Amino acid sequence: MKVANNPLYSNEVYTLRIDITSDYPFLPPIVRFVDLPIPVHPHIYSNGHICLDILGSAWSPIHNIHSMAVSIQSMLASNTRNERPPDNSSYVSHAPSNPQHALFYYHDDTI
Amino acid sequence: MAASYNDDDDSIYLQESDEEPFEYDDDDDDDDAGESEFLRHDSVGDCDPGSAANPTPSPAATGPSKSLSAYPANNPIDPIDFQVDILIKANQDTDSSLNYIDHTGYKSFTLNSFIYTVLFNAIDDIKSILNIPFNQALLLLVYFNWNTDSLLDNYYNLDIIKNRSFILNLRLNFTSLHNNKISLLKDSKFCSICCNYQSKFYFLPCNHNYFCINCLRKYIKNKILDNLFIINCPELNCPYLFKLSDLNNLFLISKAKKPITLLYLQKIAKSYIQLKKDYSYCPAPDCNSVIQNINPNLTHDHSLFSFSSALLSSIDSKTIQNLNIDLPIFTCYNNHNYCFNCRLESHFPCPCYISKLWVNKCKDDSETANWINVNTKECPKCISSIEKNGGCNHMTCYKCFHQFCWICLGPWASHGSSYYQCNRYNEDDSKGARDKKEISKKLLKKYIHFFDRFQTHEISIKQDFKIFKTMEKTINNLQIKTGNSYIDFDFLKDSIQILIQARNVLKWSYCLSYYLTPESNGFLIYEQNQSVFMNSIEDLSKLFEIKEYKQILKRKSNFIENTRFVSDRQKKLIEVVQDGLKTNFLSFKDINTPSGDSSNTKTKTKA
Repeated sequence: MKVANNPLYSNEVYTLRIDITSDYPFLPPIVRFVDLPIPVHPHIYSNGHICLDILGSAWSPIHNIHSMAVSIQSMLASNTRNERPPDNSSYVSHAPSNPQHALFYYHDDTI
Repeated sequence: MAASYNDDDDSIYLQESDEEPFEYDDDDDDDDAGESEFLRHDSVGDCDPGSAANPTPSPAATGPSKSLSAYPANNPIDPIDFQVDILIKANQDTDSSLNYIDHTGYKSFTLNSFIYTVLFNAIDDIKSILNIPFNQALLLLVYFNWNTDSLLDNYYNLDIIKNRSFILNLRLNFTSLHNNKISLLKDSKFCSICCNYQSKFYFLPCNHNYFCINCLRKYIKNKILDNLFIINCPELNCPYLFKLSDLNNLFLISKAKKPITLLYLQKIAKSYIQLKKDYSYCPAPDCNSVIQNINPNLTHDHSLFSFSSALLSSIDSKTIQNLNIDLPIFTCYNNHNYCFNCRLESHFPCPCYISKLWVNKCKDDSETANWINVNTKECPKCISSIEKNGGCNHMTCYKCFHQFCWICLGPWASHGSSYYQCNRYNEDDSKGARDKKEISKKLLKKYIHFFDRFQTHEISIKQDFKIFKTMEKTINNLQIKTGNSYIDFDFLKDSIQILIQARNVLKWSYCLSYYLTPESNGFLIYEQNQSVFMNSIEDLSKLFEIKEYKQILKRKSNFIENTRFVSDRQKKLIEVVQDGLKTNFLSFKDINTPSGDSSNTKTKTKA
């Protein structure tokens, strides 16, 4: 994945791993960033887990892989803060292997 | 991401969806005319149940849609009756499932009767207070976690933004009359969930009509199984909420054995039970029973275990709440006895706290206790069990890091640098260690002693239960053989029931024995009572071995006498425990400190 129009991520190519479960599209796919570099973003943890509501509670079966990827891309493109989530270190040390098992709080919708 | 919907945007439903050229099944044109349109009415009051059922498709509709029409044309029904109808239909095979038993102090329901009475009453209250339709009241209550007060506070007072958007959305959802149903299209259409061309579609009032019914079904089922009861239209940010009638229409011709509406209501009922403290769900497997505890003091009047009211009222301090034995043992609709407090089976005369300790201990130990006894030694310091699986005899406990000799169990320090000095018999060192080991061995022996008895009686209960189950048959046989009437053998039924209950009490009394301090007069009295009680049970049990039918009639008086004796002794035993605990004649020995045999940590050798 490439992000256009954002100097934070220019010239970088990111890799997403998308696991599609048997309940897809009624349950969201399991999506995370793999391989370095992992984009620096206040909603992306350094282990690649993404805190995005449409990958969890806000998923609807009319989403598809394309729309999901576009959401992630736009999330990156609109970012202006070059930082990790505030709880990054504590989350990464205890994170479950499946990001869907983590309990995300979608605390701020501004980004 | 909140729904991007605000209250000024009333027109959202009225917009014709331009990008969706839509084809109706023209065959039943006159009936469908107003159907898929989302008519708007101005006031909430317009939408009371009577008129909600108004726009009715006529039975003239062709094809499958004929059988799919939810509301029959000639008799519009109040939605609530309509829902009850569904429930009753779903339970036609079990007629009694809508009943409940009213005990003193508590009520036991089946899950369905619970839905029918408690749940629907709560919904009905809201429905009449706010003058809103049944489905809206249901969704509101679900949203507010069945907290009626906060619902009423927030319904007109829309200060909290989160609630505000939901309530306004809900109001808007119900300001319209609509009658959705499955429609067959002449040409197949693209379903945006499964990306296939399908012909069966469900017309949603929000005009998002591009989901085929199979996909909608799966979508809704997934939501329900995830315990999400507020189900939005799958379209992004669409505020339309699925209603019970929608679910019913959608699943009307599905082949599922359990109607989804029933599943939906049952799931809602379960969440209700979890939220309310005075309801509980029977812990027995596959038992769909609900118990409502009416008396907030958790006292009760069980026929068998009725105590004098003086005794009950004297117990009020919270300190002995844990250890008192006025247990809220309730009988569920399917005759399972369980304790409302700790959700264990009936465990008279043990207090909840003790029986929990016991159950956990049994879980930990019962299977492994024997093995541990044979194959391990305890660390002389922290008495955790250690298995030596190799290496030298210099042991270091993984738990407390105590170093000791495996052979003599004395501390390793005295063995010094010179290897293995324990051939020399050192009185002082090894004696202390051996004593400690002796103590923990005794503890284990004691536990196994009581556990054996506990288990033996549990097995006996199961065997007696078999007798109880075949009792009807036995009595019928006896009737035929002897020519006597049914009432003549009624005593058998009473006896076996009392026997089973008594065995249960005896079983749990062994658990109590394990935790009581043995060196007291109170304990001696208790033990004496226990042994008399046990003998009386065995005597009664022996009578059931008689197979000769003439003998049974002859011994009838013995049966009755023994049964009475058993229940007398049982009452006495419980009284002894109760009095003893209150007057401190009986006391528990340090139940909080872990005893040696309770830890079965295996520690490896470390040379």
